[in-house]
This record gives sequence, structure tokens and C-alpha cells, in this order.
Amino acid sequence: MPKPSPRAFLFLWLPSLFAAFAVLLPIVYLLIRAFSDGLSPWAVIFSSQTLAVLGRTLWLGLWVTLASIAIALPIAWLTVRTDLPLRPLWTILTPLPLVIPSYVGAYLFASALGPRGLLQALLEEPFGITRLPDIYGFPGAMLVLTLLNYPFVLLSLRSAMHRMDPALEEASRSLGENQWRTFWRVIFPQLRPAIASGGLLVLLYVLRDFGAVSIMRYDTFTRVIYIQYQNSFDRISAAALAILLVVLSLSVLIAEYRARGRARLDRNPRATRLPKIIQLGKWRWPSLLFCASVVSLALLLPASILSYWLLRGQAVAEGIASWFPALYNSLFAAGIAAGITVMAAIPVVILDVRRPSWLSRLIERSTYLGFALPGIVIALALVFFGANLTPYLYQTLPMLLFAYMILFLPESVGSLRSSLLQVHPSLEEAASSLGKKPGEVLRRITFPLVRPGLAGGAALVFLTAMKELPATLLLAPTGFKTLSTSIWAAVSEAFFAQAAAPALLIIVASSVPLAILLHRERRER
Amino acid sequence: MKAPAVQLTNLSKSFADNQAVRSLDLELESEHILALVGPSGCGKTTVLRMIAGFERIDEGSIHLAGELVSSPASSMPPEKRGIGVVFQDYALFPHLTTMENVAFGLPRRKTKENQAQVESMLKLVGLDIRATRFPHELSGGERQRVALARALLPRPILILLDEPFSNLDADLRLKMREDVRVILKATHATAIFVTHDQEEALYMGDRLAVMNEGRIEQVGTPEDIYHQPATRFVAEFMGNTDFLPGTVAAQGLQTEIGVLKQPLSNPLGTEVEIAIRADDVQFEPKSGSKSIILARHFRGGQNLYRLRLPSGRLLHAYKSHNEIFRPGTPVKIWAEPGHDLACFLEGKLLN
Amino acid sequence: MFRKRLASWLLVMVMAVLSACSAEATNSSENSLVIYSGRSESLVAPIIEEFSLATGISVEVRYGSTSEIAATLLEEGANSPADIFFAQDPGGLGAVANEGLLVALPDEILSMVDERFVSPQNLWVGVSGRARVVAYNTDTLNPSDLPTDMWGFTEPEWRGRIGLPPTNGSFQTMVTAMRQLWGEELTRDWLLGIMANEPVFYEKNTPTVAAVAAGEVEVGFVNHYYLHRFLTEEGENFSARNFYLSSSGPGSLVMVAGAGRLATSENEANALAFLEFLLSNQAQQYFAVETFEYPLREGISLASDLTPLFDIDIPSISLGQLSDIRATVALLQEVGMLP
Repeated sequence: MPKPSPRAFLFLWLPSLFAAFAVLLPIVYLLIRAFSDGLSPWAVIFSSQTLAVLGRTLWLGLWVTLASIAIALPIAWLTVRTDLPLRPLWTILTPLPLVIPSYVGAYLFASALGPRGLLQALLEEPFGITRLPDIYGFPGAMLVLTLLNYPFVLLSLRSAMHRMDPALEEASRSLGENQWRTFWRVIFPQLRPAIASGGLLVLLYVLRDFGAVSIMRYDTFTRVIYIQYQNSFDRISAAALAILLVVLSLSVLIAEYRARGRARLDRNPRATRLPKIIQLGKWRWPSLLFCASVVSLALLLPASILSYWLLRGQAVAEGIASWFPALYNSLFAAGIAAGITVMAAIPVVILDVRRPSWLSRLIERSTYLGFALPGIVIALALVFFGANLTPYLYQTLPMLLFAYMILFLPESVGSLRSSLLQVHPSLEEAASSLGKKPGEVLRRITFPLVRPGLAGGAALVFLTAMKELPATLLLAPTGFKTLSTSIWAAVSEAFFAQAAAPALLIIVASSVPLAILLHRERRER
Repeated sequence: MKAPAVQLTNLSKSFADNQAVRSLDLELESEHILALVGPSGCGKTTVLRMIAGFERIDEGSIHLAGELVSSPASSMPPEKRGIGVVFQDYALFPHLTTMENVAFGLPRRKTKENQAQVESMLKLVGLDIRATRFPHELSGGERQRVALARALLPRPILILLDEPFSNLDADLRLKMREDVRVILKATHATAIFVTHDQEEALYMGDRLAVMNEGRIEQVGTPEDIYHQPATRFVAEFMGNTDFLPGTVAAQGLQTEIGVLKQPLSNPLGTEVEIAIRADDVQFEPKSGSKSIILARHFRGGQNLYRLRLPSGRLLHAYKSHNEIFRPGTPVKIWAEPGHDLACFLEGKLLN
Repeated sequence: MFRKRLASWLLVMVMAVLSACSAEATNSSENSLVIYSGRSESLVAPIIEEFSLATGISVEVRYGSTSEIAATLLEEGANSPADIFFAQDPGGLGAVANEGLLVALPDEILSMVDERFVSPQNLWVGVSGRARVVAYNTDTLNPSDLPTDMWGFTEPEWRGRIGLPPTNGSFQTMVTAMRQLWGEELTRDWLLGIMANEPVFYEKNTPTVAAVAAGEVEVGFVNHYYLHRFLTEEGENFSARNFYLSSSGPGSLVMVAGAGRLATSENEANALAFLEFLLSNQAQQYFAVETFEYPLREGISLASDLTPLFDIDIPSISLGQLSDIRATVALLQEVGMLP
């Protein structure tokens, strides 16, 4: 690798190394902390209780992933390839559950479907039902996480379906296979990589989820780590569990990376024809019913419950205006997070795509670690780190933003990278040959072309930062309230009505970046 | 009399704003190869897709071996038609090996019989050594052959090839043409071969059908099409044809390069267009002449010369490689066709 | 685009510097105070606000559960920015005091309450009292259905009907009292007996009482004052009431919420002013009337529907004995009540 120029060093290498270092910091410190007291962490890791937690976490992950695929595959097919009535409507509605943070979804479902919740109250009079089956624990956690995470698989499948070559289906038909058999023999195998990649992403989100499993009282890793953090005094067990969780997430992340790679390999040349629209015929009504049910459960039901609590809240009202400080804080933190994360991504991506070397690849891969680090883990590590080593940064906003950067860097790196990959280097070379300096080439040629990738990455980071809970809970400066922590505080006291207004605000604020992302997806077709 | 393998009657199809196929009639006998040729957008691929069952028809009918398969009211699904298709970009299943791709159309049960069939087909197309490879590991030519093998194996009553060589390099194209024709003949296949390359059509087809703007201009043997084009379009499209204006005179046709002894029954003075090819034209250097050589193209055994007449009109002539004439040389040009040249009045062939 | 990028760079750096500065600023400014509160925001935020208004001191409060806050203080050690630890119960205060993180309070403050309510080494002072009760659902239970001591709840008939908040400081203090009064063995047995009845766990006391009233569970082990707040908001139809156990056991424990000053605090004057305020008539009145607790200052009258202290069979146990919360947490983890 040739020696980099001083400019390259300053603007590219230094920030990239800093970004990679930042991501590795929490893990390293966790390890230090966990093993600071001798070998007791091993006892924790290999204890039967930990095994139980591991089992529960994987069990939930498995079922949520399978259920998400089972929902997303038919919906993707129906909305992309068939003549489903009101197709544009379903296309817009079905990925929308992404705007609902998991803890909001959990609180709404728990309040409505709890053993003595709203639904039971409704049914008591006419049907005499005094108690609904317990939604807490596995059923509730699985319901909420499936309904709110299936869009990941859906979006992955939709884009794969748009890229499929219709000639393959025609070839299969010409060789004697009817529509159904063509689907299973030819189409489904092509979709497998997209299913794997989307499914593993869902699994990763289940592993990291904190809010929903806590409210639904299902003891997965994140919840146990948090309770340990709250209650035990040495916190070594919390650190040990956190490390175990990181190892688990890392394995899933590596699997997902491989699956995505295979998807690229199987990419077909751009189809010259639009795929044939399949007539549903007698399957029209069942299909419609299916889509409507999913959308009702995932969108309408939470919306109605939210409206109910909003109206109830009016009676106790302090009005929506009282939430504006929290709203402002949320927007502020998310906005800054989006900005710094995107800027941190730029040097990393430029190095990896334009000047690849073993080091730049290592840096790029290490930024993806953020995906394997649940919010609670990063927060824990930074609390340890901050309290002990850098007290002046402890409980300050920069530390929280730092945590956001670690958490969300992979999103902006990924988005920017795929954007930059589509800009052929010959464009930049042409500009150079016409006498433009590197900075100008970057500014006038590269940036305008990767702007969509930048915007997409920023929108994604903004969306996820707004919804983030555990890291914000642990790291926010004293008195810095965000919408997410306000909702959490209200729900943990069972003040359901009080949680409604900030929940609504968070959903509304999240819709904007989601709209940007969906618009981009549509444009890319 | 045995029904033709394919019969298209009064076939029409339009898409949104344009009429792709207009009242088309066509027939093909078994074990023949028909080359369907025409410029891009003339509707040939649409005809192919209608025969395969991928598009519905607006008017007319399609019969396969005497059985009605397509009409405006009904359409037999593609999987029931027993037609093999070789697509322009091959459409190989990326998740299956060569062997599995080729075996795809056979009934499901993996029997020894099936296995043997697949192996002999692979041998026929020369791919037995690549049997376990995946499509992305094969070269363009190899993928082509897999696509062909796959379509042929189920012994379809008809095989359709949609510009199968357009994605290959020039020299590979020539070789593949030969190989594919040999294979098609060896398997006694009935085939329709679509291309926009007239040279390819002339080579591949037992019969040719020339299409233009949704209609068939002429159907016939390659020789008929080439030497006796029925319309100006066919004349122009097939072979490097120049058009020379001529006037009907008593002795024959009066042209800029002399009189063509070719009697026409039209009234004297009628202006016609004569289709003339490079092998019909002769020249020799003559100083002081107003016609000159513009350029020489090396073609191996022959040289193709571009000549300019005093009127500015361009003609082409072949000369053997033994003599070389330089551009700028003034020449005397005359016609030596050895056969009657096709003449057109308002696009129609004259007799 | 470049200009926008430059501008956002600058903006970020400015913001970062500003927020860092502001964090610093509030810590070291003259008129500020940092409180770590194990008591929930909904209960104490108003009275803290009053303090701020009355004295002009700006207050930053960090809320959490008592044990979480205690653990945080231990973690932070000398680097802690906290001035005051306001805890829900003696356990958390004891844990922190035992590590030497609290500094002895002056007599003027300590003399404001009875010596029973002051920690052994004068490291912290009680602010308000609370009694342990069993909240029960009035639709399905009568007081006569309830056992007279905590052991009664380990009977199989209470299967699936009990709710409790195991992470809550007051519950943990009650278990500490059990260990003191009954010994480790019996306490373990009691805990295992309760676990055998498949109790439902809640995050805090408030949702426990709400669940009792809703019928999700039928009894809950909570502090007395939560019910009264519900009664005020929801009215007399609220289907839960408090039951005071009559057997002088740990189930009848009366504990204090208390506060102490951190040794690392640099805000001595402001901190002491806050403690004094908590024991003033104004604040004590607040605790009596607004949060329905037992004021510790002489002469403050109770809320009208509160059971007077002398009607409760309080077990005899001193505050010092309630400070060993570490072992309690370990025990709870052992029986599986805490993960």
C-alpha cells in the first residue's frame, strides 16, 4: 500500500481510524470490566440461568424471524406481481409499521390486550369475559416484534422481486411447469438470499430489542442485563452477559453479511421486460383479507388504541405542548446524530471504495460492529468508561451522541457505500483528466451523485435515533428528556394515558424520514 | 395432407399505442427451420411470444399441428403447448447446474432414463465436461448451448429462438450459427429463428420470412428472397443493395451506367428503381471519367469498392484481391449481372 | 453542497462544545444542585420544584430506582457529580453509607426529627415514613379473606394471584427486614414459597396497584401511599384498598425515605439547604397531603384517611439493621426473583 498523501491522511485515514476505534471501544472496555475481578464472569456465562436466558432469547428470535418471513413473502408477492385490488395502497401501508418504536407497540398492545385490559373491558359486558389469556411473556413479545419488524423482510423481498428477470419464469413455463410449480422451482430459489438477508436482520433486531421485551416481561438478554444493571452492585454479571450477547449478535451479523454477498452474486442483468402481472382470480378475496388483516393488526389497532389513550389523556391533560421540550430534545439529538454519523461514514466509505486495501476493508468491516452491539451494551460500556475514565464527558450530551454514532454508523456506511459503488470511477477520472483537483472532483462530480445515498443514510439514522431507548435511558444527561425516555417513564408507572402524546409525537416525527426512504426505494425501481 | 407444424392466420396484436402485428399469415412445415427476419421493432419477437403463449392475441388464430392454441377468446397456457424457447439472454436458472438446467423440462422422477437422455444431449451440444458448473461460471457461448440443450431435451414439437446470438462476439457468432443449425437438423427439430441480421437469416433458414412494421413482406427460400425480392424493402434489407434509377426505353432500361438489357412491359419513359448489388457491378480504370473510386474495403479474398457516379450516387463493386485499385482513380462502370435485376415502381416489384 | 457540508460541520462542533460546556457550567456554578433520586419523578418532582422556586437554586435531578442509583453512585465513586442522594428506603442509603460516600450531617438538620429516624452515624436523615401494606382487589376479596401475616401468602390458594415489584427499593428493604427478624433460612423459604405461587412481577409500585385494581392480580405487596393517589385521581370506585397486616412482622414494617449528602459534593451550602427544606413544615406538609406519606416532623397532621402510626403493629427494628441490601439482592437473585 503506497504511503498516503498528507491530505489523504488528515481527511480520510484519521477520521476513519477514529470511527473504527470508537466502535471497538465499548467491547474492549466491557471485556476489561468483566474480567477485572478475576474469572467470575465465566461462572456467570456458564450458569444455568444464563443458559435459560440464552434459550429464551434464541427461541423468541427464531419464531419472530419465521413469522416475519411468513407474513412478508405473501405480501411482497401480492403487491409486486399480482393484480391485487388497491395495490398502491397496500404498497405504501405494509412497510409503515417501521415508524412505531417497539416499546410503543408493546405498551399499546399490553394496555389493550392485557388480561384485564381494554379489550377485556369491552368484552366483559356482552360476553361475560372476566379475563383474557395472558399476553405477557412470549406471546406478547412475539406478536409485537413480528408485527413491527416484518417490514425488514418485506422491503428486502420487494427489491429482489423487482430485479428478477421475467425470462426465467417464461423459460420455466415453456418447459412445462405451471404457475405454482414455477414459483417453487424457479422464483423462490432466487428469493432465498433476500429472505435470508431480511430474516437475519429481523433476528438482529430481536436480539437488540429492549423496550418491547421489557414491557412484555419476557426475559431476554437485554432485559436481564438492564435489571442486573439496576440491581446488582458489582455489575460484573451484567458485563459478562453483555459480552455473551455481543458474541451472539456478531455471529448473526456475519451470517447476514454472507447472505447479502450471495444475493449480489445471483443478481441478474437488468430485465428488459416488465414482469407479467399475475391474475389472482378466485384468490382475490383471500389475498385482500390477508393484507387487510396484517395492516389492521400492525397499524390500525395500535392507531386506535393510541387514539383512545390520547382522548383519555385529554382529561388529565397538560396538553401536547408540555411535550415540546422532549420533542425538541429528541429531534435535536437525532438530527445531530444523523449529521455526525454521515460525516463519519464519508471517509470510511471513500477509503474502502476508491482506495481499497486490507486496512480500509478492516475499518469498514469494524464499523458494522455497531449492528452487533445492542444499545444497552454500548450504554453500559460507556457508563463504565465514562464514570471511571472520562468523568468530564460522563452524562454529557456528546457521550450520548457518541453512543448514537457507534450504534448507527453501519446504517450510513451501508447506504453511502452502495451509492458510491454505482458511481463509476471513470467519471471521476474524466473530471481529473479535464484538469480538476481532487477536492473539486469530489465536490462537483462525486457528491451530487452520491447525494441520494447520503440523504438515505441520514434519514435512516435519524429514524432509528429518534426511536432509540436503552442507550438514551442510561446515557442521557441528567434532566435531558427525550420522547423515548418520557414514554418509558410513563409506561413503567402504568400511566398509559400519559404515554400517548409523546408516542404520537414520536410516530409523526419518524414518518418523515421513513417517507424519504420509501420514496427513494420507489425511485430506484 | 399433414397439417403444418405452425399456422398463423390473420394474426394481429397491438400494445397501448402501437400496432405491433398486423393481419399476419404464416405457415411452417415440420422439420423445417424458418428464419423470421426484420429490423428492430418490426414485431418479430411479438410473433414469437404469441406462438409460445406468453402474449395473448387480438385477432386471428394460431394452430400448432392442426390444433387451435390461440384465439382472441382463449389461449392455451404456455406449459401445455410443448414449445421450447431459447431466449435472447438465455434465461438460465442461476441456482441450478448445467445438468439440472438441461434436465428441468423432464418429468420429475430422476430415472436412469432421464439421466441418460440428459447426458446424450449434453454430449450433442459439447457440454458434457461442464455438466456440474453453474451458469455464472460459463462463457457466453456455453450458456447459449445450455439454453439450446434445455429447450431441445423435452422433444418439443416446435422450438423458438429469439435472437440467440446477439449477445455473442462476432467470430463466436459465426461458429455458433453453424453448430446450432447442425444440432437442429440432427434432432429433426421444427424451428422458428428470429433475427435482425439478414446474413444470419440467409444462413440459418430453410425458409425466410421478412417482416416490416408488423407485416410479412415476403416468404420464400433464401435464394428467392435474395435474388427476387418481392418489395423494395426486402431488396434493401437483404444484402448490400444499392438502388439505381432507370428509365424504361426501347432496348431495355436506361441508367447512368449504361443500358440494361432487361425488357419491361411498362410504358416508355417510366421511371423505375433498380436493385443492384456489388456482385452485379463491374469497373475498370479510365482516365478522364467522371466516376471515381471513393474507398476500398478489404474483405479477404475480395475487395469491396465504393464507387461514385457523376450524379453523386454511390454504387459498390467486388473485385478479386489480385488487383488493387486506389481511391480517387477514375473508372468506367457498367453492370454485368448475369440475371435479371429486380425493378421497383413505387416500391412494388415489376416483372 | 460543499458549503452546506462545511456549515453542518461547524454547527456540530459548536453544538458539541456548547453542550459540553453547559454540562460543566451547571456543575460548578454557584446556584445549582444535583440530586440523584431513587424516588419516582411523579412523587417528588413538585416538591423539588418548590425548593428551586423558593431558593433560586437550579436543580438537576436524575431519577432511577433506589438500587440503580446506589449502584451508580458506587460506580462513579469520586467522580460522581451528585450532591444529594434522595432514596426511597434505608437499604440504598445504607449501601452507599457503608462505602463511605456520605458525609455526616450537621446537628441543626438532624435535630429536626426524632432520633429513631436518623442513621447510625448521622450520615443520612429520614424525610417521610411509609408503611408496608398489602393492596387487595375489592371486587373479589374482603379483608377477612386475607391472611394475618406474610406467611399466609405462601399457601397454594394464592397461586397466580400475587403481584409484586422485585426491583423496588421498598420491597427489597422489607426482605432485608425479614432476614433480620426471621433469619436467612426462613426468609429464603418464604421467598421460595412465594415463587411457587407464580407471582407477577411489575416494574414499580404504581403499576402493581393499578394491576390489583384492574384485577390482573388480586393482591400486591406495596407501600401504603400509592393507593391514596389513585383514590384521589380515580375516585372512590377504584377497586383496591390497603390491608395492614396485624402480626408485627416484616409485613407491617414502617420505613423511612431519606436523604444524605455525598462526600464528593462541592455544594455544601445548597445541599444542606435542600435537606433542611425537606424537613421544613412546607415540605412535610406536602408529603402528608400530596403523597399521603407519614410526615416525620412533629405537629404535622396526617391526611384524613390514613391509618395513624400507632394503630400499626410496627416490628421493632432499627434503621441500621435495614442497610444491608447487597445480601438481599443476592438472595433475590438466588431464588430467581431477580435474574
